[in-house]
Formats: sequence, structure tokens, C-alpha cells
Amino acid sequence: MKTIKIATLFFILACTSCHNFLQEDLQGTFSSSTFYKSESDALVAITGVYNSSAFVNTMNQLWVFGDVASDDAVKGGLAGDQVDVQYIDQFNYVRTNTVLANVWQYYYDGISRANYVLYYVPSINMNAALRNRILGEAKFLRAYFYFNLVNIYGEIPLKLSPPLNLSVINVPKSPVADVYAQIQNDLTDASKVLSKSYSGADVGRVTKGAAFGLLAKAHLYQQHWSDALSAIDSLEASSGYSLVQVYKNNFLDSTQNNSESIFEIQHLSGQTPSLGSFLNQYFSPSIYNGYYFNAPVQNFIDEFENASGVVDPRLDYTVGRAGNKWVNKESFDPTWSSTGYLNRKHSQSKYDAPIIGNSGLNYVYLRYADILLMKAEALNESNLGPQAIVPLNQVRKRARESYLYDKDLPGFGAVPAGLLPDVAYSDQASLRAAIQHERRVELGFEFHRYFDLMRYGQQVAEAALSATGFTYAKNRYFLIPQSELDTNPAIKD
Amino acid sequence: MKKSIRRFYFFLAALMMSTAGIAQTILSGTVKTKSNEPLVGVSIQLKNTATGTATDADGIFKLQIPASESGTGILIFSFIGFATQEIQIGNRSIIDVILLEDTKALEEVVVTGYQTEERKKIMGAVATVSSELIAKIPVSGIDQAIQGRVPGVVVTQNTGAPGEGVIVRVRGVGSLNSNNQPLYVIDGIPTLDATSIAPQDIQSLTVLKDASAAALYGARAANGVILISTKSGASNKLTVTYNGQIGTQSPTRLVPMASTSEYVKIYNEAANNDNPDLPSFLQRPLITPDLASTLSNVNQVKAIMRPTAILQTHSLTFSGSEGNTRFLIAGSYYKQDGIIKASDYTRLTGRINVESELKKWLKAGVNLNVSDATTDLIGSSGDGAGGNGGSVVRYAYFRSPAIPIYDSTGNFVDKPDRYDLFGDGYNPVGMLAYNQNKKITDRLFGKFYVVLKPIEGLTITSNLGVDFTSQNQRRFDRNWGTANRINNPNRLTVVDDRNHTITFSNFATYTRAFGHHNLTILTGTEAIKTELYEITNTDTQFANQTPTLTYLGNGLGQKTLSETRSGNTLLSFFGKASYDYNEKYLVSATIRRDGSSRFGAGNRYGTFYAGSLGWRIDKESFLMNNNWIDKLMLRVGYGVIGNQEIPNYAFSDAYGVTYNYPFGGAKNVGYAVSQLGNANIKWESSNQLNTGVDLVVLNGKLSVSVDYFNKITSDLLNNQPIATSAGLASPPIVNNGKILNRGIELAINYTNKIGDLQYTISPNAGLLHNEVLAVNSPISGGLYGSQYVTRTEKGYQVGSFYMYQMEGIFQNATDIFTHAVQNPITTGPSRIQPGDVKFKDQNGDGVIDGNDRAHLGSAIPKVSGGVNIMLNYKGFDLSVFFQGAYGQKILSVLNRDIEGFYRPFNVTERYYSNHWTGEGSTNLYPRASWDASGNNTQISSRFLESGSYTRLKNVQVGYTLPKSVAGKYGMSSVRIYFSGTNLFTWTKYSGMDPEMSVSNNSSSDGDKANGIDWGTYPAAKSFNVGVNLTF
Repeated sequence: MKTIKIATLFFILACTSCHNFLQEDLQGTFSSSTFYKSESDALVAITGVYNSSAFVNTMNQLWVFGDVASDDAVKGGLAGDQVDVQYIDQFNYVRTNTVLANVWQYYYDGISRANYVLYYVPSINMNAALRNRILGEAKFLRAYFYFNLVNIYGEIPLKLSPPLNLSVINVPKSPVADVYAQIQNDLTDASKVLSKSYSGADVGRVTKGAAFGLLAKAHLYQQHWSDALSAIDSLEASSGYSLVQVYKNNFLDSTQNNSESIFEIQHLSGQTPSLGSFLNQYFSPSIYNGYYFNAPVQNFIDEFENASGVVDPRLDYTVGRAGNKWVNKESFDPTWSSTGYLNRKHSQSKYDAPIIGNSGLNYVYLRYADILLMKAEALNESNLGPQAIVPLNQVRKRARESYLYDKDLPGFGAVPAGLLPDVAYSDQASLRAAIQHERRVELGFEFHRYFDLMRYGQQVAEAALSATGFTYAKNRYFLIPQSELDTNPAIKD
Repeated sequence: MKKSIRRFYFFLAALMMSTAGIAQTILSGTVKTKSNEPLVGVSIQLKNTATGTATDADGIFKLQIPASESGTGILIFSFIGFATQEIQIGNRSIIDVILLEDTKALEEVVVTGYQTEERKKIMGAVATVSSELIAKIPVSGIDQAIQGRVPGVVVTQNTGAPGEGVIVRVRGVGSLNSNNQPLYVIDGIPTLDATSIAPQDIQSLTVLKDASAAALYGARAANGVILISTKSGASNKLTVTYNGQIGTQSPTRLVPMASTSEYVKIYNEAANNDNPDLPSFLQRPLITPDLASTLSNVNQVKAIMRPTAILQTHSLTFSGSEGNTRFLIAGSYYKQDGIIKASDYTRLTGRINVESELKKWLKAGVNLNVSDATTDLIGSSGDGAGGNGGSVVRYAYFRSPAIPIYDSTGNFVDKPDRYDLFGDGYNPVGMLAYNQNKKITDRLFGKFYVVLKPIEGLTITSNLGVDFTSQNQRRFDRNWGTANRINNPNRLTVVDDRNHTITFSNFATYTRAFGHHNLTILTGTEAIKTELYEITNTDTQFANQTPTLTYLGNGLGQKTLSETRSGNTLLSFFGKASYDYNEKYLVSATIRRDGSSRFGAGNRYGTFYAGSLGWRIDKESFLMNNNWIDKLMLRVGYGVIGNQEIPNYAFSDAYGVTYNYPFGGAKNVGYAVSQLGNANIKWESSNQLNTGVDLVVLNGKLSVSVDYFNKITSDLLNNQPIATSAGLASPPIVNNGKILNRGIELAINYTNKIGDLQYTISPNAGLLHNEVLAVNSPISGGLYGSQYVTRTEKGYQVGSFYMYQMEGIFQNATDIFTHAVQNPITTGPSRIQPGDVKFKDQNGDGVIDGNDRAHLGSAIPKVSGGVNIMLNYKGFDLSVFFQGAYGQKILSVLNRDIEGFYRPFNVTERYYSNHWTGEGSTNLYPRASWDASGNNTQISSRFLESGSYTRLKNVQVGYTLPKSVAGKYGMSSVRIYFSGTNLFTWTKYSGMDPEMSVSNNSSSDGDKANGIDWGTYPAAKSFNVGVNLTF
């Protein structure tokens, strides 16, 4: 019958369209199988790793550990706001503390991105030198993330592959020494392939000097004094780092990426999505739309040297306090902060009002002054005290000579008598104390103090943190977040 | 020979009359319906001849037949939508006939997927809901209308905002992936979204709950199938129906909050509690009596509400037939003003259903539904991490009553000058006033179809279904507030998407009876292709924020643009054979093979099957002669069905393209993985056993159905969180775990009469046991801050709440000293003080840590059900409908905001009146303190409450005018009614709505984290008046 023929036709129609009907490929979106094909893919991928270092995402709470957990600062801000930061400050945290979880996952995300680059980029057919540089950048950044993580959490999972399957995702903890060994390997590899410097459109990429600098720091943290010194020698030999004349130029957006800068995390305002730093909003007074966190305490203020009524100029570069101006040139009102002080290194002078947490000011993680103080420390600990005072005094000289170079400084023109005199060598212990003092005032509110306290050892750390619940035995390292324990069956505690 | 055009018959009849000759008999008569209305165009034919005619406009026919035919001759009366009748002429010359409407309707057939089946032969767990019940409650969607109507089907509010849809769970929680919704099949076309269909257009709704019933939809049936048939033209007479309803809505329940004077007292109490332990520079100022006397007292929650929120719905339907063509044309308008300002929903729908019987063996038709829905979206759930911004509900609750809404110049007060005393949250009234977030959805849904009946018993159907949705969403985040702190810079986001789904299904059914043997065979294929295309544009830094000027291109900042396309296909082959012997012994078998593009090449195909047996015991000889059992049927079914509702391309990872970084002071584009993939992803499958008994007694007055089911789902598809040390990319979809859902369902219907009073009572209930049988490692869910609050783990329910258990309040120092150490990490002075929350040491090791968390219940109700009572007395009708769910828990994170005391926020009246003030004062609410230990603010069973409730869902009183009165106004039926919905709720839950189930925050977790209340959109109660008119 004709009708049956028609009906049969329908069925045939329905089935002939089946060929390849179930093949649906990802469209408009890259996947690992369509990405990593060209030089430009490799460049775009390494940029994605740098993204994880920036203070664009508020999960990057390095400031909480570096400053708030130390004896320099308290949480500040509105009472009750970000109360988990306060628990860190008081060493009264639990594993579900959001700060513990945020930094953990944010830096591991950076490690994951670096691992993708290191996994896929080697097989891209491209300029070999550029490929090696990109792999070096990835290794440096991976080392940087691990360095922060191992110093916060101690024993942590060491992941060197991208999260392609559960066996490389659920990794148990590694000893601290193993993590450091990997950091050293990565930095050594990176130092061989990274450029000494960049110009133009590449400024901000990690350099050979940055690799040596971070390597020196890693050795220093493990008290490998001679290795630290040799890394510093390599750094000084590779490029001409020098202290900038005016200390505050390290913290102004107009003088970024200067000769003192070794590893500087780059920010840029006015971008969509944001590439600006949120730190200025976090640390600014409420009347300028800030949250006034990370407030310096009196003990930190008291650390700065005085001479005949004149204080170390670095104090007023570092904190806002009664009698000085805030970064927008308005008089600082001590009621802006519960401690009477606010930190100002992350609030740029080109002051946006209102503050919207999208600042172009970079964060300088490693600068030459830090290297000089590391050198002084390593020399002193190697019983070379008389040599150690040389780099230490370089740092002090630059600080006091702010009076010669910073026209905005009240009393500009001549160094006040007796201010920040050169340190003379007497014995190892006093020089050690002098270097520790110098690091605190030179690098204040650059997120280093807590880590320095921990590596100085139990005695120093417990003395500095005596007002809190801190004990070296229990709090040397923070806890791995509960969210990791709940999702990673390879870690039990 | 089977010409069926009416005009032709008129011509033919006229011709025959004109050629009247010898030996002819003239027959005449009228054809009417049961309700005595003449039927126009009824075909009358002398059997086995070419002789025939049709009725005229008054239903009258005349036909000349050969005299020889009178007596034994037979006339065939046929008309579309009516049962064909054959009548022996005998010696009559006047033959009046009453045609009955289609026998199918009278025999109660049930739409069961690709076919209809007689109710009496159904062996699976199948429930139907009548169109009257669906249209009863003024809701926008069909899925809302079935709440409490079907045992084992649990319907809960999504966020509760108008237009937001609902969550439907058939027989518990069988999957972990975020889309656990049943499959809707509307007029044969499958879809996951039934929101664009007006409830008034529904003819019937069938829920297929078990595998034996649903296996025909194999791959997509694991979570149940809801079949919806829309109305079609039936009567020959044009029928016009108008249904209109208008009402006002108000919140069912708001949480009572402290007043300003109470706020001042509790603030000062907390400051006085904390200050002695703080260094002077950290001490909190007090609110002085002088300042307190100047403060306003604002009910912030009432301030975001509309005083009257109107809800109205109107629908107009024309239906009838013209010749062999039946039609229905319907339009509806639904408008719901949100009880919260700026959250309105409007929907227009239009429908055309046309079917034409072109030949005796050929029918063709079109069902088309067009809809246009406009939703004004506000953030009303979650903390802003969801899609629509911060929740105004949450902001309103925690905002201090001391902050006025407007300043003296009429501008919004945002951050108060003394934010240290009154908090720094946003002004919720301002947020609503400046809210601009509108979504417009246009959808065309329907099918073109052809039905062939080439030989007796064989029906071949071809459906071409179309589902085209285009959606435009524009959201402008206006910059405002103190020092322009909110949404700075302002930002416009425009999302345009188009969603195309084409369904092409072809199937044949063959039915044949051999004596007492009845056999039906169904076989077919189905191909579905869905494609989503989306463009997202953003612009920023608009200098002028006037709504008429905030358009793409007018911003001064950087613009972004992205385009995505995503598709999936499904290809299926299916067959079903049903056999019964004399309707006494029944058996059926179903098989379906599905291929899905969502799985990788090696795992695309899955085969699903089911079988069922039925026994009509009442047809056995030993029961044949009893006079009280009308039906007693035992039925059992078993089958395996699947689930593929995961995102497209789960087999592949995906990269984000905006992980940028500046080099040399310029933006460089960066890519990074944003979604992990799993190449081994495969079907989830569900093994389902169902057994049931249907009993009908007392001449149909009482019917009882009981079903027992045991459903085990394996290889659960879900996006379980992976180790946080894997980074921030979304976890891959994996197959992990096995879940049991076991339960009993009961449905009873009792109908009787006392004089003129007719009444029906129909209770239904479902009991559910949900348990995880296996899982590789526990699955965490419900991330709150950095804490997972649920855990799906072997031996517990899906999404079971997993947290510290509050064991009371520390009453004194001894109590603290003798109890487990609450925070082992600190060796300094313990922050725990009398008045703080005490956690239970579950493992008895003397310290409280992560190992002391416990499973404390889940959001899955253990019992759910409803009772519907209907009374009819002469023209009056009354219906009362209760609905409830029991045994589930709700985690109120809103209470953490308004009772947790962690910032200068307002507190509940309950907390204010009952908090700890000294030894023995309470064991429930801790002392007022911001600096208290984390125990007081940490998520624990302190914020976990019973979510059980019983709700008087609907009461309706109606009056139908006598026909004689209605007829005077040219109407055949007039009914007016008053109704109320959500009139009363019995619950212990302290929040706004125990029906809430998900928030924007946890929606991607699906059933892994339901029942978390972030301050949801409050449920509305409404009072309505309505009218049903039929012309």
C-alpha cells in the first residue's frame, strides 16, 4: 500500500540522518586538545600563570600572614569585619578559617596553571629560546607559590603535574625539605634560561636575577648560608641592581619596576576584568571608601630609630600617623584606625577617590634592599661579621639620605645629625639583632615580617608574639584547611 | 469514496433529493449531543454503500435510501471527537440520535508516552492530575500546580521569587548532579522546562514514576517523567471560555526583628561584655542615651516589601471544529507583582492546536505555544556569590533599625556616619530602587505531526517538535551609595541567547485482538538536537546612569565581548510490547537504546529496559460474582533507566580566556583551565523495582492504590568537589556512588453523596528512605565560607548536613574546664567564656576538631503528602487543600547573620529576648559578644532546624449560576469563586519559608547541598477572586 511506503520513508529519513549525529565538539572554547598549538598559545598560557600571583583576587591574602599574624599589625577595620583575620592574628584559628582556605587554594591554582605550562608547552613547535624562557617563567612562578605555601603550612602536597586525573590530584603531604628541594631545582633551572632584563612590552616578566634572588631567600630560610651567598653573588653578577635614591620610590606607581626591583607583581587599573590591586582599598581609611585593615601597632612604630627628635624617615613612608599626611596629602586623622595608625605602602600616591580596589600600584615582593640584608645576615652567620656590615650600612645610608633626595620630606637638604648611623661590628649576636631590626623597619608592611620571625626560631618568635596564643610548638605552621582534608583522601591531618 | 468535506455532502444530499425516484425511502432525524445540543456536519452513511449525507446547521439530516435497505440497512453516524454509532434502520423513518463524546475519554485512557493506554491496564507507577486541579491554584507554572497532588512527588520552591520556577523530585533524590528534575513531555515533545505553558491549557497530566512506566524515555527517565497533554477542540460547537482571577499577595511570615531601643540595649550589652578584655584602643564606643534618643526606628524588612502586590491571570480560549478540523485557540496573561519591590513577573502565552482528518487514514496537525515572559530579577537569595547580586532580603534583615531609609533631602542613606555602631551594609531599599535587571524570554514550543492509519490496528506517527527560545537579559549595576562605594565603576551586562531544540520522532503502534488475546506493539526512533548560542557583552563607566542611556557603547571604560555555542544530540531506538489475556493477565516489555553526545565516543550508547506483570484478581472466577470489589489489581515492574543530564562536553576540559596580566604597563591576555574534564564519563543508571495494588470498591466510591518502590542509582554523575589543592578550576563531572531510594506511596480517593451534597476526600502520602550505599570517598557540598556543610557519605542521606553539634551553652568556668577543649590550636588564654556555645566531643578525645563533626539530617523529607477535600452542593463548591513535608532539616545561615552576632547587625526578637545573660539563663542562645569564640558564629547544629511543615495551601469557594440564569446572558456556564493560597503554615522553622530548598549560592551543588536558607524570597499568601465563563 502506498501509505506503508510513506511510513517506511519516514523511518528511513529518521535513520539516514544518524551518521555522525552524536558527534558534538566543543565550540568557541579552547580545551587542552585544541590549545598549546603555537607560540602565541604558549605566551597566553604563561600570562595565565602570572595572573595567579596578582592581588586582583581578594583570595590572595598573603598580607594576613606576612603582617597581621606578625607583631607589626592587628587586623584593624570594622570590628567583626573579616573576623577570620582576627583569629589568625590571635592564633585562635580553626581549620575552617577562610584565610587558611583562600591562600591555600589560590596559590595551588597558580601551581596548577604552571604545571599545565610545564606539561604541554615542551611539545609546542616554536622558537626554542622563547619556549625555554616560558618554561623558566613557569618554574619560577611555581617555586614562588610553593615558597609561600611551605612557609605558611609546612608539610604540603607537592604537585608537579596538572590535575588530569585523581592520582595526581589526591597527593599526600611531603616533608618541608622535599618542597624546598623542588623549589631550589625549579629556581636553578629557571636561572639558566630567564633573561637578565626585559624592555618595553615585556617589562614585569621574571628575570634571571629574580630566580637567583628567590633561590637566595630559599637557602636563607633553610640557613644554608653559603648557598645563599653564592646565589646572591650570581644575582649581583648577572645584572646591575642598585638601591633607588629615594626609599619611597619603591611604593609609587610612577617609579615602578626600578633598579631596586627584583620580583615585582604587576597591576594595572581600569581594565575589564580588573587587573588592579585591591590592597589600596583594604588598607585605606573608611572615609575614602577603604576597609582600614592591617593596622600597624605601637610596637612597630617604636622599632624605628630616633636621633635628636627626628625619626627614621622610613616610618612616615610606611605608616600614616598623627601629624603626617595621608597619601592623598590630607592630614592623617588617628581616629581612622583603632590603633591610630594605617599602613600606606600599598596606597598609591596617584590617589583615586573614591577608592575602588582597582589600583595600578605593583607589589614588590623582592627588592635589592632585601637582598643586601640577606647578604648581611648570611655573612654574619658565616662568621664574617666585619664584611656583613657593608651591605647593612648600604641600606641604612640610603634611608638616612632620603633627606638629601626627597624634596617632600620636612627638613629636606641635610641628613639630621646622628640619624641612622652606620653600624659597626662588635659581635655576631649584636649584629644579628641589628640586621633583624633593620629588616623589620626596611621591609615593614611588605608581607615578610611573620616569615622572618618564624625562621629566627622559637625564642624570637615567641617573644615577639607573646601577646597572642602563639607557641612555636603548635603554631610554627598554620593548619591545612579543613576543606582540603574533606576533599583530599590522601591527607588525614 | 470517503470524501468528508461537508459542503460536498450538502451537494450530494441535494443531488440525491433531486433525483428521487422509485423505490426510495426517505429517512430523517436530528443528531444531538448528550446535553441536547444539535451537532452540525455529522456524517451519515448507509453501510457498505456510497449513499450518505450530513447534518445541517440545526443538526437535522434527510437521506433517501433504496427501499430494499430499510429494515436490515445500517446507518453509520460519525463525527470527529465523538464515538461512531451504527444504527439499524428497522422500520423507522425518523431516526434521532445522540452521539456520545469519544469513547476513549469515557474509558479513561492515560497518556503514557508515544501512546495512550487504558487506565485499567496500567501496571507501572503512574499518576494523573486532572485539569481542574491544575487550574485551581493561581500559579505561573504547571509544576507548581502539582504540589501535593501526587504521592512521591515533592515540589519545593526554588528561591521563591516570581518566575523562578520550582524544584520537582519524583521518588526522592536519585541523582547528585545539579539537574535532578523530571523530564517533561509536552504533547510528545520532551523538554526540561515546562514554565512557558499556561496551566489553563492543560488537558491532562501524567506522572510516570517507575522504570516500567518510564523506560520508553530510557536515557532521560531516571528522575521520573511528567507527560502533559494540552487541550484540543472537541465539540462541534464553538466554545468560548474566559477564566480570570485577581488577588493580592502578602508575605506568609517574616522573622520578627529587634526594634531600635532593643538594638541599642543589645549593642551596649555586647560592648560592655567585650571591652574589659580589650586594649583601650580596641574598645568599642557605647551608644549614649543622647544619641539613642535621636535614632529612627525602621522596619527594614517591611521597607523592601510592597504594601499590596497584585497577582492576576486571564485566559481566553476558543475551541470547536469545522468539518474534519478541530481547533483550539487560546491566549493567557499572567502578571505577578513581587511582594518585594522590583521583582515582577509577566507572561503572555498564545496557543494554536489544530488537527485535521484529511483522509480516513491520514491526520495532520500542529500544536504551537508561543510565550513571552518578562522577569525583573533581584538578588533575593545567597550572599551575592550567585547570579543576581547581593540578597536584599539578607541586607534588610541585618540592617540596624536605627538607620533611616532616606536622609533629610530625600536621598538614600547608605553607610551611616556611625557605621561602627550601626554596621556598614547597603541600604536594601536603595538597592531595589536602583535595581535594573530584566530578563525577557520568548519561546516557541510545539510540533507538527502526521498520523497514518494504513491498516486496521496500525498507527504510524511522525512528530517534528520545535522548541525555540530566545532570551535577552540586561543588568545594569548602578553606581551609588556613600562615596559612590557601591558598584564602582558601574557596569552593564547584556546576555543574548538562542536555544534551538528540534525533536524528530517516528513511531508505530499495532494493536490487535485475537479472541481474548490482546496485543499491542510499539516501535520507534527519536532524534533530538539542541543548540545554545549566546553572546555576552559588557560595558562600563557610564557617565550618565539614566536608564534610557545605559546602553552598550555609551560607557567610557573597557568593553568585553564573548560568544559561545554549545550543543548536544540524543539518538534513540525504542520498542514496547504489551499483551494481556482477557484483561486479566497482563505483561509488557520495553527496551530503549540511547546514544548521547554528552559522553565520549566510547561511552555514548546505553541500553535500558523494563518489564512488568499485572493480574486483575477481580476478574478471576472466585471474585467475579462479588458485588463490592470493582477492581483489584496486583502489578509489579522492574527496569533499568538512565540519566545523562550533565553539562555538554563534560568529557573535555575548557579554558577561560580572561586570566590576564599586565606586562610593560599593558594588558596581556592570559588563558587558563577553568573547567576540568573527564574523558571516561558514562551513563548513570537506575535499577527500579515497583510493586503495587489497586483496589476499587463500593461501586467506584473508594479507590486505594499502594505502591512500594526500591530504586538503586549507580555510577552517579556529579561534579563533586576535588581537592582544593587542585586549584580553582571547576571540578570534572565524574561517575561516583550508588544511592538507594526506597519508599511506599499511598493514594486514596473517596467520593460519596449525602442528598445534594457531593463530596470527595483524597489524601495521598509518600514515605521515603534515602541512603547512600557506596561512594569512593565522601562528597563534600555546600561551601559556606571555607567550610563544607554537607557530606554525601555511605550510610547517610544524600547531602546530609555534616557539622559540629551544639551541646548547649557553657554556663560557668567549671563547665568550660571539664568539657573537651574547644579550640586546641591556641595555648593562650582560651577565648571560650561562660555564655558561649558548647560543641559536642563526638569522638570523646577531649578536643574539638574536624573529627567531631557529625551527620545531623538532610533536606530530604521522609514523609510528604497532601489532602484534598472537595464539596459540591447544588451550585456551590468548596475545596480545601493541605500539603506538607516532614522529617527534613534546614540550615539557616540567615540566622548566623541575625543571631550569630559577628558584626553590628540587627538581631532577631527571639535572640534579643532569650540570649544568655548569666548562669542558667538559657542553653540555646549565646551571650551578646562580637569577640566571643568562633563557636558562636561557626556553622553548627545551632543553625540547623526542623523543616517539617503542614500548609493550608488552597481554599476555594465557588458558585455556579444555574444554567437558566446563565443562558439569559448568552452563557452556558458561569462560575465565580474566592480563593486563598498559603493561608496557614504549621511549622517550627524560624525562617520565612520552610518550603525553601536552594539558594543561588549552592545551586551548582544540586542535591548535594539543599536546604540552606540564606534569607530567601518570602513565600506569599494570596487572596483572590475569580470567574470562569463559558459561552
